[in-house]
Amino acid sequence: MKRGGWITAIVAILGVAGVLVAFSLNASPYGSFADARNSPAARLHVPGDLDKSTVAPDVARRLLRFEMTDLQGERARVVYQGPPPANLGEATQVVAIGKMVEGEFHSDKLLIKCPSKYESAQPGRASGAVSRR
Amino acid sequence: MNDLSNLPLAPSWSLAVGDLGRSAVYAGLCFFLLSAALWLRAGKQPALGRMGAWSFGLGTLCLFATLGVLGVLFVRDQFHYEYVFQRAAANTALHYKIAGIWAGQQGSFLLWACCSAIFGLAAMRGTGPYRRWFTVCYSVFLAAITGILAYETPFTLMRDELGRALAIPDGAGLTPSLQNYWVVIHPPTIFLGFGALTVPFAWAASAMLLRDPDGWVKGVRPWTLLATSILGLGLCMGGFWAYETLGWGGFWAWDPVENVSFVPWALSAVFLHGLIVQVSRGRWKAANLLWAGLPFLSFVYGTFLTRSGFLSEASVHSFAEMDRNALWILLGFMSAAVVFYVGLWLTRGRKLGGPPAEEPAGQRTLRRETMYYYGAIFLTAMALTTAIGMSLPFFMALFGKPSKVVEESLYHQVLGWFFLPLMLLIGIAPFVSWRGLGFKALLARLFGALFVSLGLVGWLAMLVKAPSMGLGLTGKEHAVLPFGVHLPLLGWVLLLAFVCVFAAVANLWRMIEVGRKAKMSVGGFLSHVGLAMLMAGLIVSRGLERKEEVLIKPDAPAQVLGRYAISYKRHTQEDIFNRDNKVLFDVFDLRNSSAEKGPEVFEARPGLYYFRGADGEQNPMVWPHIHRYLTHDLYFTLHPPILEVWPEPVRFKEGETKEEQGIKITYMRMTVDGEPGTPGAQFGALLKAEVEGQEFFSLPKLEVGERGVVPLLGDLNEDLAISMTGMDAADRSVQLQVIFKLPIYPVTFYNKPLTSLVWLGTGILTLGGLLSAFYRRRRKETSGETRPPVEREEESSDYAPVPTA
Repeated sequence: MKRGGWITAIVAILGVAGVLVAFSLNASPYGSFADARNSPAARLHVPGDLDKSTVAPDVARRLLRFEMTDLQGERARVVYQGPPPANLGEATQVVAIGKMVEGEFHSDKLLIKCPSKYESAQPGRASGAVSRR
Repeated sequence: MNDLSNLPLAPSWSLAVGDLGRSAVYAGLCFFLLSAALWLRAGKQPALGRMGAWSFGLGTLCLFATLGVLGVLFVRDQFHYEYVFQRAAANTALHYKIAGIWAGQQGSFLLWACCSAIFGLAAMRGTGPYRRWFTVCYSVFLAAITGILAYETPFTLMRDELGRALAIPDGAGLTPSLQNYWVVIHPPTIFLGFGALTVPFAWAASAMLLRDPDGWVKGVRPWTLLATSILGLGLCMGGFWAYETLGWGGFWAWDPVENVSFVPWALSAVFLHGLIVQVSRGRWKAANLLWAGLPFLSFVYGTFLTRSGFLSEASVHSFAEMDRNALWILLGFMSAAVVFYVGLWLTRGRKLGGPPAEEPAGQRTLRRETMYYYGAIFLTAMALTTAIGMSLPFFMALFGKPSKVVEESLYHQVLGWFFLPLMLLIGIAPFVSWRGLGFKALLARLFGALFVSLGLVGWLAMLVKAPSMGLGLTGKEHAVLPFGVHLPLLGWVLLLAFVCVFAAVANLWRMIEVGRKAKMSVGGFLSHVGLAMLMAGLIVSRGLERKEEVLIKPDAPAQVLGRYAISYKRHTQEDIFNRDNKVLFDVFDLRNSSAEKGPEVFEARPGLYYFRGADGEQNPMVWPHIHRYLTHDLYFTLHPPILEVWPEPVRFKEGETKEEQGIKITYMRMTVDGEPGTPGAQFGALLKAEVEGQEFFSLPKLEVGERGVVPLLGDLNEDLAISMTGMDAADRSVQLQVIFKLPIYPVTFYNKPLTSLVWLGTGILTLGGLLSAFYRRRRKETSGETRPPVEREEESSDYAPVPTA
């Protein structure tokens, strides 16, 4: 290879490495309620099963409270800031994003997963409903 | 399903049709394998090639027959097929039954195969000497997909213990959020795009195997243009679906599924520009041979990634994991394709480019090719970055680390670095000729476009700051950039908007300058105008959106964004389970009022209905309402209505007093009517309640009915009632909940400026791409002529002044 080729290759590799580092350092980690308790400062994605019977909106404080069981099997109360997400009814699994505060998981963003028997339109686009806030 | 035994057997025609579908898949597999084998040996015996062509055609016919069979099963409600059962119900509208065909994984693979095959069939005739290897590669790919369909068939029957297939009267139905018209047309469109990507892949592989890097580019160009345009349109349609359905007010959120489609599109666009350079300058031959295959390979990789289960924890979408055997076929095909293609390029394609042409030395000029070169680098970088981002959970899993996911904001932070220079290049490149242009001359030519763009952005700034727009920006909003840099939001969005406006204006400018002389070039300019408008629309409508959450009581209007008043009217349907139910609200624009007519009004019609889940529980489903203006969209998201006042029911012992949310309740004693334990018996809780200083007595009850207990509400005041949700006869304790007599509707109200640009831009982008594909199609009369090594047609359409020293 000529010198130009080497320089191009090195720049490309550095670029890819830079992006990888930037993404892996700043990406949001997934975890459990236990992880959230152990690192109270970290913003965590906690996936788990939503117990629909516990969903209770608190109108005065504009909160939504519910209980969910994380993948480790621990059940905890989640306090979500905001009105009930549009497609909470379709949900079986949710990903709560936030921090643990005094035994309750305080979340400001909920991702809704829908039953896997419903898949959606594209290979990969399984159940389409996504709720972002 | 306890009354299953009463069901009749599934009709025999239906079982026969299913068998037909299954056989068609196997037949298709055989035909594609045969086609590959015949063409492989067709080098010396052209007759075998003709047979191979027939075999390929028959294989394609089999794929469409399978699709047709599946369609028949859906339309005729054959719910004993598991695939049909899970994606349709008897009362599903016909067009959503058809959408059900590709709502699942097997169906979407089938659609992919059909689209790919039809493009193969169409492109094959024009491939000339490349036809042999083109067909071999194409057939192997289609055989692999058909093989996956054979393993993981959509024709699996649901059988009872005796192995009989019973005629099941109703299916589970398509998930409500997919019952939207975009789901009917978006998947076929995007899969047509994905299918078309196979053409450049197979053609380039063939060119490398024949060691001919020149002859294929003009033939492959219209197909690449078509693939990129259709794929781009399909991507945008996916965004429209999200916007109109999901209620979070945006088009694009960098979800893995969206990224899987974006990466091939971006790489395909890079390849397209490489083709232009090769056709007009005779350069980039080796790079084009590689880039032709990358869109296809990246899509196969993305399909594998989303189907493998690695993302299931990290994505919002719950991916149905593939059957293991089918996944192995896909993984095997993917690895083989990557090793074959990249290996071929490294050992052969890379060297086919020949020595690079001598650069004209000593001139300080910019050339069009340089622009394309950096454009290609930035766009490839965007694709690569996105690919890395979506693969991060996969990488973490490979190294056994806990999963991580790249959030939307991180994508924006990283990709912005590539986006800004890319849009500037899109704006500058049309002014630079292939021969080169000095910097001063370039600046002189750019001056007009820059001036107009600055004016337009200034006008935009005034528009969004104007009170009539109702955005009410405080000027304190910030955008977070990498390294903790904070920029004023308005400034950042206007900068991004500026590069888009500049790109649009510059391309429009050039289109008008050269359009009359060279109609051929209009499509290219037009598509860039569309792309820039689309990006401007996405950026401004999301970046400068204003939203407010508000609770709307049926008897009291609420004000949002300091400008609009919302008041509840009624439901359109009596039955809350009716899919067509809309909740009507009047939205008053308080700023736009006239003395005679009062404030301007429109009616918001968000959807709300309930459906029963698998456990019989009632689930709400809501649809947003969008009111469109030329300058902005008003986006009205209704959330499921709230009935409970207290966060959760409260348990009271007899004589106990508790206060929650300002409502103080004393449980005085239990009342019993009728014989406990027999139907008709009523348990009541005599309560004294204090609300806002007023005292009330209330007596909520639980009645023991034939089918369990039914709560009878106790009156509290005008707005509130009290419900007994449970009781314990042993210690005479009760569970109480305070509820609203009329439901309260939580609403998120968005003002999204310039959303119309998204729709307009998508249309123009697609139109431009299709125009180009049409102009660049291979005409019959020219296909036979001996081709010159380098074509100069681009040059002729170009205004190319002598470079200034």
